Amino acid sequence: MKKKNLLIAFFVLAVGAIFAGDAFSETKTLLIGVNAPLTGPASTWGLGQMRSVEMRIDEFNAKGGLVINGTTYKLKYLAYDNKATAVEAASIAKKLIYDKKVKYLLGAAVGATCRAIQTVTAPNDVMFTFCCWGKMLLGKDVPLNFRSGHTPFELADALVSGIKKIHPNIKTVATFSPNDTSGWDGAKGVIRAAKKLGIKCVAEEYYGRGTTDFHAVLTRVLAKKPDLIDLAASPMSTGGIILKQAYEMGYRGHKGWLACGMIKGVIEIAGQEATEGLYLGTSWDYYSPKFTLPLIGQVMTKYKERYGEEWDYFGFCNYALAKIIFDTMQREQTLDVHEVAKAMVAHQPYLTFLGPVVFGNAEIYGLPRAMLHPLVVAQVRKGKIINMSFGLHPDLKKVIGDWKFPE
Amino acid sequence: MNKKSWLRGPVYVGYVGMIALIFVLPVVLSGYWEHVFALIFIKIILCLALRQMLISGLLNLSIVSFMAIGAYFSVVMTTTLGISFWIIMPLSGVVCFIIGLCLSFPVLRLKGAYFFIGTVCFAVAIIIFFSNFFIETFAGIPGFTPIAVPKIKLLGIEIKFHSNISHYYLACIYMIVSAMIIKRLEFSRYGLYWKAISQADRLIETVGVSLFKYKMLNFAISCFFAGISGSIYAHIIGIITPQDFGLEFLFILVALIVVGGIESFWGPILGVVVLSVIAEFLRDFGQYELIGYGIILVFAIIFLPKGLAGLSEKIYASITRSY
Amino acid sequence: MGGFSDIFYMCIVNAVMFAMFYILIALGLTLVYSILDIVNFAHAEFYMIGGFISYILFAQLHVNYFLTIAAAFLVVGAFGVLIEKLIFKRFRGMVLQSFIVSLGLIWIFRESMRFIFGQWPKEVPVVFKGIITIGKTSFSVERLVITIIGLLLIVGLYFFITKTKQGRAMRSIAQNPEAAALQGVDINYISSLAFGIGCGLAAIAGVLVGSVLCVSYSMGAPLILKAFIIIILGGLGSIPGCLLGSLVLGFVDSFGGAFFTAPKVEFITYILIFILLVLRPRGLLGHE
Repeated sequence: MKKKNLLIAFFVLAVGAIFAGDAFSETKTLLIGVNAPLTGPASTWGLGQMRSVEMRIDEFNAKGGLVINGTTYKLKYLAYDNKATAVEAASIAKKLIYDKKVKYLLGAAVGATCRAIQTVTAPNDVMFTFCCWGKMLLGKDVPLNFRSGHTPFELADALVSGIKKIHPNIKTVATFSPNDTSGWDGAKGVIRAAKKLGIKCVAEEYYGRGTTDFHAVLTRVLAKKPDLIDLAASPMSTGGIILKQAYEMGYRGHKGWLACGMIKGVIEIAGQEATEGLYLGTSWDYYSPKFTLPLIGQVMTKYKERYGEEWDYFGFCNYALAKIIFDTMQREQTLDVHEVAKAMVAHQPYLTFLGPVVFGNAEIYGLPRAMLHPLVVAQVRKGKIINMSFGLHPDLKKVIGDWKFPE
Repeated sequence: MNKKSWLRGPVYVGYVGMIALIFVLPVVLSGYWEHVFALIFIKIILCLALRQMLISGLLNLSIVSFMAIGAYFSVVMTTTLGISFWIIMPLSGVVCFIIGLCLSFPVLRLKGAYFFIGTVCFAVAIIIFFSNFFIETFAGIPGFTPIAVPKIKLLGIEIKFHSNISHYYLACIYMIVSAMIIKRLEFSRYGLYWKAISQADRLIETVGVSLFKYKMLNFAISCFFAGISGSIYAHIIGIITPQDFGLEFLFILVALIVVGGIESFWGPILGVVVLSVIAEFLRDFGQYELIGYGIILVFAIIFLPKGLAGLSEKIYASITRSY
Repeated sequence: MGGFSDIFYMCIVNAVMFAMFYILIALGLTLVYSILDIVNFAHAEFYMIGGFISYILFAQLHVNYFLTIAAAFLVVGAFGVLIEKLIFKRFRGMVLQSFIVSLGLIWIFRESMRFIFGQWPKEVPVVFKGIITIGKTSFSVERLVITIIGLLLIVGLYFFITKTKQGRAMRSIAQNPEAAALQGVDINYISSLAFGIGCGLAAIAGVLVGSVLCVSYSMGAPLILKAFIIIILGGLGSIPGCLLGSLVLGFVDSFGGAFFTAPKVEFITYILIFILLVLRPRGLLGHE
């Protein structure tokens, strides 16, 4: 009898301790959703996005999570694989929002899936960050959408005019881009920027993802003698293959790549000669002291040590954006999506490992929701990446003036 | 056995019970699971249509392209031209029936592997068509969105089919009606001929029955259901891209009926429900979801050669045998 | 049109080299389909595994290139035999089931390689460096070598099938399995051998192509459908048919690409194949 009483007392005390403990520290979980392609060819982007959220959450949890109005929130992410299809993306968005009651979807890639996710997040007041391109993904209809990473609307003018300044004799351009949303946006962005500078587009080529043989296309395009070939939004391996095959077929003209996510692999696939002189808009030497902050090298090393791979450009941009969001939640002491969104825009600029960052480009989208950072233009010479110059988007310049990278 | 005798008795009660269960299910389901089941219902009809051709020995791989035709026809008519969904939805089926009838004429001359590749080529060509041609109308690869929401006026109140639960009921009514039609067809005169086709093609023709007509009808009917499925699917998801109707989706449908069991009418239904629910739970594995699905598929085919329907028959037989 | 005569010879070179690229995979596939009567959609995954073997042995460990080719053939061939005995054996003659099981295998193979090697494509160093330019036509030495090796493989396989005992046994099974068994052919042994050789050939293709392009876990995906189209178009079980089918595809791609953009060429290709099949329902070189 005594033993039984003791057991019951112990049980009651234990349960009480659990609840009492809660009353003192009140730890809750803040769920962050990730809806990205984790398998398939698009997984290079999707995994980069997921890991950016993962790394950021681990950092914040290590510092004790977020403390908002006395409640400590441990951050947890839920990542589901949408296999780069619109249906899966829509279903996963519904699962995260209706089932798991998530209010923040951070990290997504592939234009068609972002459009699908948006159909669910917009009516449900969910903050959605992504790297997908597409004008309709930001704006007054979707005030809670934020984009990390530059798109042709922020990049193309700067890169093409930069190239034209160095090589004023360029009169014609040919673009090679995948046959999908980002591919179309990338190519059209380059052509638009080129047109403004009087450069005529002689070929606008789109290829299905997974194409490996470009000899037929190149035969036709090279016959038109373009001065500049731009690879727009081509993925790493395909762009490398195009450069290699173009070189083998005799192309020795100028080369640009609007949005290369990962240049190292390209140089190895295409070879030094084929990539000589290639201009890059979203890939640069992160470890070079020129036009970088020392922090970016540390970030890249941290990722490499943890995952054993290189990080793509869009992945680490989302990493910067995630910190801004969590910091804003902490500073404003709120988890309400509208308040966080408003505060994010109001409190810029943010000093990140990319340099100063603002949300801007309302001129194109209607609302300032595109994350702008100093654009570093690099060139490949003898197999090495050389950081050549940097530029500031007008919206960024307005806020930070004549900011320069430290020498 | 008299055809009508199965309408009475315990089997009838079973059917009514099942239908009642489906109508009542949303009570226990969350918003997301209603969406999942809406998709399951559509997949069931697609798989039944696919199986309907399979009993003739023909693996009609162009069924997804008719789903695409139905979907694109439906969204363009309702969203761009503003015509009511309730007129367009059955019309999608009719349009696909006619196109299917025309296509069946050349395609059914092919046999076996050639039929397989012929229909696959057609399917891929349709995807490329919707991806690259007439982009102003079809929106191409980025996807067609937004899509008009079906509306209905009941007793003066306008109901919009916007919520998950409305999708659920729309899909479930469609499924129940279509499944009943398909089952009746299978056990009708047409079904008999279709089954006979797979057994002995030329033998039947010596008896004077023109088989080609029935093959064409079979093909066109499965296209009809694919078309309506595509239309409803488009309005439930809210966005359609050409990739949604590609080979990956097609192969999954085939896997669903093979795992479910080809021989029985209930096979595809079992396959769709079981595998779709399993797939939902596999999602929690994140990037390991796909390999998990692959492993389950391999084991399912190896250990269930007659599919889930065959397994349940075996279980049923062993239970009744023990008496 | 003056410009076209400039690129005419380039188009021919492109067509032949494009065809060779596919024939390496189609050869193994037609062997498997005609002898075992199964649809192995995972065939291109053995090609991918061959590519990774090249990455490990040639790129990382600097093993001799031709030794790597031989190693890939043997290792992947043996692995193929294992897969055949474990999985495909019970589905011989069952087209639908073997197809679905191969789908599952695709995901298992691809994802496993992704876990081991990561998702970024890997590069294999160029073996045969150099570019050849004849008039207005230029191509790399690499592709010429692949073309030559491809032709050697076709001839080699043809001799194997027609002259050796095992080859003749394979043909007999392809024609009539029951009669072959009655003649004393060991169906299990010959089937496994055929499957192993088919996978080995795909692996050789993977090694050759690895340094021309790059190696990634999804490199097999775009090829498998075209490979099936080639073997069926050319007529199942026919090696010359395989060659013809590949050339048809190569010429359509190459000359189509000279006039139209890539998406239009793809559309034309598939419609053309559809029409060809309808006009010749038994394949171009029709073996029943």
